[in-house]
Amino acid sequence: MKLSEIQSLFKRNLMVPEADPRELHNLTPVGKLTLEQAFQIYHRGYINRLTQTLKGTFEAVAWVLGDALFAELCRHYIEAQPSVSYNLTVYGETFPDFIKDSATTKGIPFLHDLARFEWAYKEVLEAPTPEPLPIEQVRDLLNQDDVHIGMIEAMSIFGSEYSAQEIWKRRKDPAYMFEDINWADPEYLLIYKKQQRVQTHRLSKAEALILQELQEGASLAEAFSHHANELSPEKITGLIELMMRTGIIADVMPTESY
Amino acid sequence: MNNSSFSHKVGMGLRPPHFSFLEQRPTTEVAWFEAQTETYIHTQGRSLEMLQAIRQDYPLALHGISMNIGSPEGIRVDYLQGLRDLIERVEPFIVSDHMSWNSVSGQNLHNVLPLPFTEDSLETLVNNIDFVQNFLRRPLVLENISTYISYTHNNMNEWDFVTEVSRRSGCALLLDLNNVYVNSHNQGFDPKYFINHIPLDRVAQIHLSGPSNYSGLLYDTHSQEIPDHVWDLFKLLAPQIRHLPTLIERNEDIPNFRELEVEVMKAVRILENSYEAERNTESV
Repeated sequence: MKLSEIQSLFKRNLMVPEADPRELHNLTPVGKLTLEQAFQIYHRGYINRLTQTLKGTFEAVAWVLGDALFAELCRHYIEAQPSVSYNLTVYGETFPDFIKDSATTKGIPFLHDLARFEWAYKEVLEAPTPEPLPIEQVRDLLNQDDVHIGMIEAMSIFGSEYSAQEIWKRRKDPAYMFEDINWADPEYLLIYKKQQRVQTHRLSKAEALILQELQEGASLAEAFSHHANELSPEKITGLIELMMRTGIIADVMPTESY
Repeated sequence: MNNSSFSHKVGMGLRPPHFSFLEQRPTTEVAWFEAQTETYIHTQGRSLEMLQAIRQDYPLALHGISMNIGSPEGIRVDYLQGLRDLIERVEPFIVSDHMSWNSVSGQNLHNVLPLPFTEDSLETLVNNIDFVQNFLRRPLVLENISTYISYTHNNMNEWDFVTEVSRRSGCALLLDLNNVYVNSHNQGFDPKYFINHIPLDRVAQIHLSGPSNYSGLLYDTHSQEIPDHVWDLFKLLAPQIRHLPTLIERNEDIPNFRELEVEVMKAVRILENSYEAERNTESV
């Protein structure tokens, strides 16, 4: 049997450890193990490694569900979503959607959004620390008629019908259970990185939509005009100040050269 | 920092639970850190920033688990490009991985999996090592692994296989004494026999860690304190390997930094004692 065939066979039995002795005559377990038990060790190693990775990223989801239910959810996810990357930090991007579709977690309405929040937070954390434009330069450039704004990579606009961040903040506090937290209020957040630290800032829904449109390539005039009835001139000025203060502006380009 | 002649020899695996402690730049007994390669390849955020900050104060080694050096499918070039970029950034003094395979048809199994000790495996390894060493323009260091499955068509022992890989490819060896201990216990051979039959002059680094014991079988969890059996092997080898970098490695159930640092100090002491004992013998 060629090495490639042996490795394919090994993989099949590692993923589903029901060793078939007719196929596996080339393999032998060590010590007093049976071959199935030996494959179970590798299988558990695979599941545990990916479960620990998911637990590291989705810490608050794990806290809400408790160890047993979280492990069960992860096992189902890992079986449905094999890891294809050598870098474990990228594993779990589809976990929030998996939670949404999972019958196990149907009774916890905020869980999908909590998972989305945790993934967004991780993405900002793992993005390079940004180099925003200096505030004075931004002020000068904003004096033009209309501009497009290039946003930093290390930011995310998050919106939810539930207070995901409120739950997330309590994940390490043993005095709390998620039932103690008022999670029923809608929440809009700017998640961004400044000086190597991830920070969040609460937004109104209109502010979040404007930032989202700017991020997607709308000009400043376009984005504000879509929400002119929802924000007073003072609020608009305040939002521009916020963008400068948080350092999320990487570039300002005149619309004609965009 | 300890000022003995061996205080610069013993390092510790760099693990995220220690990041916030190390960020404060405390004085430690650790001479160098070993970072897990895959955590830092193709990343630019918190993890890499932390690694670069550590690199300002300590020498670094890179240790991978996903190079897939034993795969007939060859090595992923995007992995090697990422590794080469990382090497340029942090200038590690050693780049190592495992004498194993971990991926088939694009699926990563996140385990270090055993190879048959056959000519087919040798050829695969030697070709892949040659490719990697040319790509990285530096020697690769490969670690012996612990296994729960072996192959009935093996036509050599592990120690002969390891020796042959190094001899034919020019790669250096990372001798993991925990893995030698785990295999010797589970497979019923004398660990000293393994050590005596590999070319110690090809060994570039030592790993020390502790396995878990369930119902008499040892599991390579790297989650426990280093057991006496492993310390004894280290003492036995100390006269021959005390010039090499030694690493205290913990992958699971990671204790706080100061607790794990005790094992670093113990390893330094063993190296010092070995040197003192030899000097005293010579002066007699």
